[in-house]
Amino acid sequence: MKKSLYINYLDYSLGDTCHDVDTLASEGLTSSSAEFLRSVGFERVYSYNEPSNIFDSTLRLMIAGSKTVCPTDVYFYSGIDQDNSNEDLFGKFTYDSSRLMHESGMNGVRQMALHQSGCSGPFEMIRLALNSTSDNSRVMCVLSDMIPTGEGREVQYNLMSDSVSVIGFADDGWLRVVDVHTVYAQQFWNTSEDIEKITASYFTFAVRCLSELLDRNAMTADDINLVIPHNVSLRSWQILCELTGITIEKVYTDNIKRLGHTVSSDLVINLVDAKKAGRLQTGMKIMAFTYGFGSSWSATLLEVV
Amino acid sequence: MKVLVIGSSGVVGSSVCRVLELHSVEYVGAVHSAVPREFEVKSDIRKPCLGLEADSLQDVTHIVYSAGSTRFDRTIDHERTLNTEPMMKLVELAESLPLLKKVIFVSTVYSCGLVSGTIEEVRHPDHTVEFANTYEQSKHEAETVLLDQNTSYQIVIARISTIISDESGAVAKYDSIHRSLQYMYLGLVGILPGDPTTKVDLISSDYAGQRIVQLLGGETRSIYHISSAESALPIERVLGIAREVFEELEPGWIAKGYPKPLYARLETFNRMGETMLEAGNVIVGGAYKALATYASQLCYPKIFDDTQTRLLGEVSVKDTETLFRDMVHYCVKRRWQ
Repeated sequence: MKKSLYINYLDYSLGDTCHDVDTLASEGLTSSSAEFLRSVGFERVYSYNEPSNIFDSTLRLMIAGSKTVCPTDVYFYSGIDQDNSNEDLFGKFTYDSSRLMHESGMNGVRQMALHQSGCSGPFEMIRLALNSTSDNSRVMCVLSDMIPTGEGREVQYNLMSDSVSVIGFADDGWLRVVDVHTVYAQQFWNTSEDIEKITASYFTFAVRCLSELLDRNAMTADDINLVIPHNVSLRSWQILCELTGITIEKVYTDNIKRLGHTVSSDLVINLVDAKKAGRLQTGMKIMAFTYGFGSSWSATLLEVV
Repeated sequence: MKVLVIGSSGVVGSSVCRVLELHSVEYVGAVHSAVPREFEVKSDIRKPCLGLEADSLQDVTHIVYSAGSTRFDRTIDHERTLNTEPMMKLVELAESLPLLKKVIFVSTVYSCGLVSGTIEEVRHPDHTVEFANTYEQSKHEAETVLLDQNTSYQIVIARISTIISDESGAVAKYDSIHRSLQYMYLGLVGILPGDPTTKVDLISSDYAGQRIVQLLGGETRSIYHISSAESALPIERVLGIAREVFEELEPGWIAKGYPKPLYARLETFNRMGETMLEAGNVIVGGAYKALATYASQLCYPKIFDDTQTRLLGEVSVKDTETLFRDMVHYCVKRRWQ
């Protein structure tokens, strides 16, 4: 296990087309009404028009990131693979993660792809970087998610954007990873069948996850200066805040309205934008949280150094 | 003694009739149903004299009034029509019965409204309190109407607690409590309002029936609580028993991993539930609706003191934990059908 882990690079890119909630609803791409979605905090989302666009976007971010996370020792990738159902057998063994490494000039770097952690992907990567890499390793995490063109953009009352993000870890980072914690509930593996049970128990597991993380670091909600959310509905964050004693003002909610939820890039997007907005100050304790279908509830403690 | 049981086909009324039969007490039941059976007459509590022919009831010495609405989800105007306004019609009937000695009005312990602490067997203050639902409010108002009467016969208010089943655990009619349990069984209850130590007062219909029949005899006070009082169980224990029974009857239920509900402020509970309803989620929203009708009472911990009731004498019934366990057994085995 590493003695310490620091984030030294964060960047992201959103889908190239913006859609407002009214347009999405009128095109039948939401299951709830525009009025409801707006009332719980959503306004617009971004989508990629073509799978090739998100691939190109991912590649650009990796090439840019590799200049800072240099030389990269370990590479983690999480993303929705392009549809290869019509490919022959060898086609099915053709991986985006390897192609991205090759085309970004990182041949030979140790790589690992995590495809089935849903929105918890970045938190699993942080855990792997913390526990499975040696000291001084430079680690790049790439997260790339796109909802197939023409499919609905609402997942259980949350509007979804397509996005790509990169996290770099190196010893000269400015954001220290203090701890990462996940509560797993694989009994809810069948998302289609269990979606209402997941909805009913979402807050129970979320509170457990956040409480356990704070407890094992001898902290309380009052010790947290900023909460980096996953960009699910503002309403759900109001409820979670009431349940945990975190004041909603501490939660960086600006991006819920601006772009909605992405599968796994919310952490990066919100950290980048909070930093740009001047919300991150040296010495601050940050808690980030997400839920991933599968099911898992993940939280991490970060410190601005 | 001849007892007129108004609302004799209901959960409380039918239990009273069974106890009267057991004690060979003459009675006549008054029901709203279209075709009254033997020992029954037809009534309509919205009509003068409750729709009863006073002339045919001249030998009645006691009335047990257990009719009305027990729905939690109707408007106050509707509940007043069925619970409050019939009180003057009851008085009208009573005054035309020359041998009448006592009227027992079956009310609810929750007529006290949203208050905490020990609730005594006395008249509630008339000042405005809030209520969890229109049922409670209309019963509170009904008590006030009756207690304000100056009558030649005695009026007794029997405030009963939440009836979950008969003594065997059998449920005559599934209501919000049973539906809430069903939603919990299905893993659809994530948040509850209040505190895990809040006690929930549960009794059987048989207990209510026996106590009401005890009240028919001799001189009594005017207000009694038919409740589990100090034997009431904390809600955490109640839900724990339910989980034990679910696992006992369906081994592997615990392994489904449904978490124990989280306790929250009422506002938070409502925010979650109302969001689900707003979103058109009839499943999680449905679970919320079943709970919401009585949920706010869970935020007002209280004990319904039954000192005066216990002075009436011993009544042999199951302890609350066994009663609740048997009721859950009944529900699960029949899949709430």
